[in-house]
Amino acid sequence: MMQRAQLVEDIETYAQDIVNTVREPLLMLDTTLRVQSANSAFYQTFQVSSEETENRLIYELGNGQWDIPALRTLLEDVIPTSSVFNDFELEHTFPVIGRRVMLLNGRKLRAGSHAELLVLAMEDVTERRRSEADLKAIETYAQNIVDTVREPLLILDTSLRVRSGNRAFYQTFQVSLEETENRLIYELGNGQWDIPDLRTLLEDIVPKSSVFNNFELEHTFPIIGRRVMLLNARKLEAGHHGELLVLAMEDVTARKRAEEALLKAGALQSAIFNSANFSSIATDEKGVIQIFNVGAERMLGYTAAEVMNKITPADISDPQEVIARAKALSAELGTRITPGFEALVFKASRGIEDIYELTYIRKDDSRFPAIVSVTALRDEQGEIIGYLLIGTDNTARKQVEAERMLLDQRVRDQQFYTRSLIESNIDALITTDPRGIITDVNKQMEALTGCTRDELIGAPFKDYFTDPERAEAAIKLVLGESKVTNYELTTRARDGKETVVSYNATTFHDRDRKLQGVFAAARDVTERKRYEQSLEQANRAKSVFLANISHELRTPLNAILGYSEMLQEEAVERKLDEFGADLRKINGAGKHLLALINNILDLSKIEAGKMEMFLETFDVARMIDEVASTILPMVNENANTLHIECAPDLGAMHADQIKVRQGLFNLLSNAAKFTHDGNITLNAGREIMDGSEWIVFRVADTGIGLSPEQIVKLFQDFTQADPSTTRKFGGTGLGLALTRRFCQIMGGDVTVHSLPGKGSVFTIKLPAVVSEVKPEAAAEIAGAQVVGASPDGDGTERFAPTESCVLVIDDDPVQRDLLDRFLSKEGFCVRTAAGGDAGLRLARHLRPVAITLDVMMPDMDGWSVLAALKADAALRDIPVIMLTMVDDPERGFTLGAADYATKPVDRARLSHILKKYTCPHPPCPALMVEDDPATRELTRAILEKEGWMVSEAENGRAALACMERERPSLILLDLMMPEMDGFEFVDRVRQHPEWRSIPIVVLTAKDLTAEERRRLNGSVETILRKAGNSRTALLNQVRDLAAKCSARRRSEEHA
Amino acid sequence: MPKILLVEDNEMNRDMLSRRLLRKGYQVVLAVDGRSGVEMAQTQAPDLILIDMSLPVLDGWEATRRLKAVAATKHIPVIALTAHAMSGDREKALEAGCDDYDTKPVELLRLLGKIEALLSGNGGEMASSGNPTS
Repeated sequence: MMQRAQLVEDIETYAQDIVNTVREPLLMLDTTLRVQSANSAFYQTFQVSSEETENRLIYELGNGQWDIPALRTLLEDVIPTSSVFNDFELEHTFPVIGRRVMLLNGRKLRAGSHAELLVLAMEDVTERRRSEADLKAIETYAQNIVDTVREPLLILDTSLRVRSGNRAFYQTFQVSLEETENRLIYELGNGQWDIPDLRTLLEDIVPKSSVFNNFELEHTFPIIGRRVMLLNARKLEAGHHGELLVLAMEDVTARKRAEEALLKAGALQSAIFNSANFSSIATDEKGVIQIFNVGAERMLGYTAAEVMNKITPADISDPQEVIARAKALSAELGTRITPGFEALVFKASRGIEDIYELTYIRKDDSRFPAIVSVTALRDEQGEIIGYLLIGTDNTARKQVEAERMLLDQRVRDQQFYTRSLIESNIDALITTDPRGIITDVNKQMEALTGCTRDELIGAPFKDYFTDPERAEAAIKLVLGESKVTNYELTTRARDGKETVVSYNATTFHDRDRKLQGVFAAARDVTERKRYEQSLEQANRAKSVFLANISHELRTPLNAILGYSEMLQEEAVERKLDEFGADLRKINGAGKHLLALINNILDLSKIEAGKMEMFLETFDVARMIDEVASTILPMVNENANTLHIECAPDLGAMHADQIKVRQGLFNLLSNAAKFTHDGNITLNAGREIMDGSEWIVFRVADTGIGLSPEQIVKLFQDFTQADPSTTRKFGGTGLGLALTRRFCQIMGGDVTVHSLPGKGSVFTIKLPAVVSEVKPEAAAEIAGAQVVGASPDGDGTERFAPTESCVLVIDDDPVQRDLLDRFLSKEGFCVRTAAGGDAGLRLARHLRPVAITLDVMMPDMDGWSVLAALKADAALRDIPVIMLTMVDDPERGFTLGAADYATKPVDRARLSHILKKYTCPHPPCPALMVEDDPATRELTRAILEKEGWMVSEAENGRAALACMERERPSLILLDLMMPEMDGFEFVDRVRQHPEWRSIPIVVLTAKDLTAEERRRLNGSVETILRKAGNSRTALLNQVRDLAAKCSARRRSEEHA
Repeated sequence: MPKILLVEDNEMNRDMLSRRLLRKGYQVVLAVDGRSGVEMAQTQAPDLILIDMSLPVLDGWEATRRLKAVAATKHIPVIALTAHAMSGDREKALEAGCDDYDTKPVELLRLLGKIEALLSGNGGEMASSGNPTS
């Protein structure tokens, strides 16, 4: 039993192995259609697991994919009635594997003790069915091809009898069906196919091989003439038809001829012909395409087969163009040319080389522009046998051309626009290259110069001005500053006419930011100048008029005041008290009128430059007492209290007493007017600022105060802070303006600090010793102040011009302008002077915090100006920055010394300077660099007396060595020394970061000889050549020095 | 009583100033133009001359020059009176030989000060400066 059981098991295992090795999916079902088992092919094919399969109803396997109506029919209807079924076809879309055609075969089995089983074998025939369908389609297709093929076809049997021919065959060879079918090929029709070559092919070649290609056959057919035919043959095994031979014939006569002609045409053409970039289309003499190369296929989208022997190039050309071309050629050649192929090749047919543009139409109906070159193909006798049309796709070029045209148009538009802008500008416009050569001008510039555009372009800009140097400097200034505004120049036209113009100019750059040159706009300001001049004249006339009218007014006023005073006296004497009050009113009104007239007169005097100063030395405290006693009645009127505070060291001052008095009186009367039940304080003191002595008066009140807007207007002529105050408080509105001008004429100023509601503090600062001023200069200053105060809108700042004013003395307008702009931008108030004299005069009035002084000036050089500054007690403490700038190359040099002392050394002066530089813990080390032993000895004595520790060096080189050993706190430096002079020494010190901050006091001779001057300037030039600073670096140095000077001044003021 | 010659063409001012001087106790003689002023100075021998600058016939400057050019009158102090207050007037007057200068309208107290200073012999110019205070 055991053996038997074993055997059964073995068999079952074996069977199972077989089942599993079968590649077709198998299912075993019981009679209830539940799956007993499946093979691995089943699981794989349907991508379902055994858990989803075994013991389940077949319809519910996996994702229910087997619930197929046709299957139900098979299993529930067919199977129960028969034990077997074959090839049940089932088409179904399975969720996982997609649409399938399955062939089902079923067998019922009874396997021993097992219940009846249904074995369901499945065969996936999807692919097979698809191939069958394809084959059917191909057969139909083939039949169609045979019928529709335009090439003649013959089908022969092995005995070379014709079984059939296609329509093309009968047409081509003009032979009837009866003359053809079932005949030997050589005997067709009029025996035209009995061709030796054909016999060779059919009898020798074909039997040996089942296929042959392109067998060329040339033969003169009785009806259609000489032809070159290309034969292709295939042997077919056609089932019950037996073996058949399909013979395809292609008439390549025209192509052959074209090719031959082309062959003769040479290698270049052949290269073109084989190129995909040229469409080469060869036609027969009628225009029917015979050759259609790869390039043509690529460009036109047709295959060669689609066009060859079928159409002409005219069929793939834009018909409109063909018609137009025909028309044009007809007109040109005087003969009628039909629209069509003839139009494309007519010229070539006449031996005229012809290349033209033509729009080809692709197979997909899209179009492209082509350049077509047409050549006639001729045989050996010169007869035309066809044409060759070589075309290149012109699309890209057309596009480029179109874009270029568009671009050109835009450029032209832009140019026109720019030109219009330039020409329509009322200013004369000019562009120059960076060298100042004119590159473009507008009409206005032509008018201004009297020269034509052509004459101007290429000429130097400077040639058209009265001052070419200044004109050239203007260009340089623009290049340096990138922008210049209101630069005045005078143009001189060819006819000598001069025009004053004001230039605004900027640099301009190309796209890569490369400097292209200067763009300058010149506005004719002749009119403005004239206007300004007439304005000035009118202003003077006004002043004269005011002076005269004042005089005329004074005479009757004299009588009014005199008689009223006299009557007052008489009234007192005669005890006519009732008249007293009225007489006092008459007298008071007369006095007010007089004050008004006097103020007007004073202002006109200032404006006319005729205000004089009567300088005297007077005791300040006593003057204050007098003013106070005069003002007291006014102070009391509004119940105010007046406090006078005079510093004990107030002493005397040298000034125009009347003007000082008038100023004080004015401030006090204002304070009295605008304060009620308050305090008015007049404080006077002596202060040292920037080395000179000042008398400072402060008038403080607790009155209504002023807003910032009011402050701005405050010092303007005829303006009171609020116009209504004139009505309310009286006054001329001239008081403060006059006070201010008086103070400025004396070299001082008035400033104000005020808060609305809190009161005001007016401060008058005057030099303790006022120096003589020419009236014209006073007018200049007054004018400058007025101009300065209004346009910037920062009038308040301008009230204190001395606080951070830098005076620039330079003969070169460009450098002057440059420094002015630069320092102004840095927040300094800048005044400029073009020469030494003007500089000294301005220095006296302005008391600037610093002076920048050009070393090399033509008339009075920097050294002389420096000596004059240092010789003047009032000016000697103003720090001077000696510098020189060279604009080409952009370099400059500054002798940024802390101080200067003139030789022979003045003991008191030097002591004064030394005090400024005393270090925190004396004795301080000082280095004296001086080649003259006598001077060294003298200076050393002074230094040591002041508590300095002195080391000496006889030239720059020795000094540098000395500094390596010990860093001095101060350097005293002679400029002219052998070996290494002062300039070079300063330059070296400047390059050393640790030494840079050491103050240097330069010793310079009081009276320089011409030789010394030459040597000094020579040294500056050497430094410039050797180690010139960039302009930016120099300007920064100047700024730092000026800032230091300003800071020093402030700290001194506060001390 | 010091005798003052007042040379003034404007009748109202002449009348007013002469009456005020009289009230202060001076003896006053009058002239209406430059030439008569010079003549009066010679005939009347005043202690001091007040002279307007813009006078008819002979202007104040010229009259003063003539007065100062003649031995008989050159010692007499001359105070120029002018309504002109433009710069240069003062210099012009002093240049012409005036001993002092004052502007019109006259501030009597100031003028009296100048007169007294000159009469007492320690005057001359700069007893006070020429511009009126307001």
